[in-house]
Amino acid sequence: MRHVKHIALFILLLLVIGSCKKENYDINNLNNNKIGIIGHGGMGEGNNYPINSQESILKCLNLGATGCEIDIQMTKDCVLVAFHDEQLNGYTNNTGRVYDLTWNEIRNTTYSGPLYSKYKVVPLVAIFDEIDTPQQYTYFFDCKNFDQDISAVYVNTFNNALLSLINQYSISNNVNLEFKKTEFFNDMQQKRPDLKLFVNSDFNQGIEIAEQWGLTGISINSKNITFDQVSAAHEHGIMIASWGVDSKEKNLENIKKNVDFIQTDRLKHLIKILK
Amino acid sequence: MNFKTLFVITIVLGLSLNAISQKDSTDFIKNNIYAEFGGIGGYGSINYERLIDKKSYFKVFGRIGLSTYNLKDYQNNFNPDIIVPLAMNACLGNEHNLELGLGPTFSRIVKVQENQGEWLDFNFNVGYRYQKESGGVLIRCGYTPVLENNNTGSATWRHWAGVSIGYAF
Repeated sequence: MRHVKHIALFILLLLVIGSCKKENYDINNLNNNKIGIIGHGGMGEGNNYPINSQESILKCLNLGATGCEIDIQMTKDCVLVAFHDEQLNGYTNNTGRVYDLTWNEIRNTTYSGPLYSKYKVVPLVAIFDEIDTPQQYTYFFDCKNFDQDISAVYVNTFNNALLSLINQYSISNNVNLEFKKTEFFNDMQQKRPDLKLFVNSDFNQGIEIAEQWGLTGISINSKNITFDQVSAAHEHGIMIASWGVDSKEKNLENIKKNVDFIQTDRLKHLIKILK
Repeated sequence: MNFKTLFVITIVLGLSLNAISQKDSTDFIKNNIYAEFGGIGGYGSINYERLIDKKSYFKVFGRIGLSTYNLKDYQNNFNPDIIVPLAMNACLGNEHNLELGLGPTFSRIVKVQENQGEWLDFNFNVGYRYQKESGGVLIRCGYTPVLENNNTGSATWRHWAGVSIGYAF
């Protein structure tokens, strides 16, 4: 009876050890055959830290991610703010659109959740001021330009604000700029042709725009891209950054698709299986 | 509403409840422990409650809880958030009670800007409580709004709810 107990314990131990063994993925992509682990807004949706908060982004970097995705908007007085939605309503204690307000009207804004936490909506400089060595990480700046009037002056001002930040923290080699509208690519390429640009689009349109404008890659919802499409993009020298990765299963699916970067909401899991 | 005023109201109300109730029973159990899911602790809390007074179908309890969000901070160091909900809960009923409560919640949330971490907010509670006089299983559920101090001279109502299960002894 005692032997049976020992054998059972030994089998259990083997199972535990077996389950801890890391799987080796055969990754073949344009990012030196490595998948960049990017936290969506820092720690991702569903975390105790609201996405784009200072705490969320710093925690993501301190956990060992390759980098993070940050949603960027510009206030009426040209301050770059890290915030996802068009409206502050609902997700914060403030109301209105970021681009309709001045920074002074936003500075006391706190996120609604979780209860009692009162994490603040912050300008981008407040985030980068807290990163010890910003050059050691990769950033995806998801430039949120909604339906406001996109005049040439606005595009110029927005891109200049981005460049000012990039220069201030010497992160030109670390930043990937994501845009939806071609006006921004055009302007940015004239200003800084060395910067890496991604179009946020579906696959067919993304390939077309990326080839036409000579972009680095496509940012795409992970449910809208297949392994074959990733391979096709790679054949054209176009990288793929996938987003909408909100479960462990989707982390695994995206690894198997060979994408170059995964912008995940399940950061700890992705770090655990890839690092 | 001024938060100092609200704090004073809470204390006065607590003392008033104590004053209007007259002890008529010493065999009613005095201690409750329960876990609350949601509720005034945020996502959840563990709580201790002590019977302060009882008169017929009217009982008053003092409650202290403990909750957290993150045990490790944004630098990945052990440095837990601490949330301490306090409340005076008045119950009307025998086994099946209507419960009304209010009190302050102290919170210390670890943030990058250190001076923004400590807050005093106010919690409220309207709900149902099942608790036998002889003790045993305790069940609560209720609407638990919180009046959050925005530190800009204003406050915001946050609608919230909670369910508790515990033991009375």
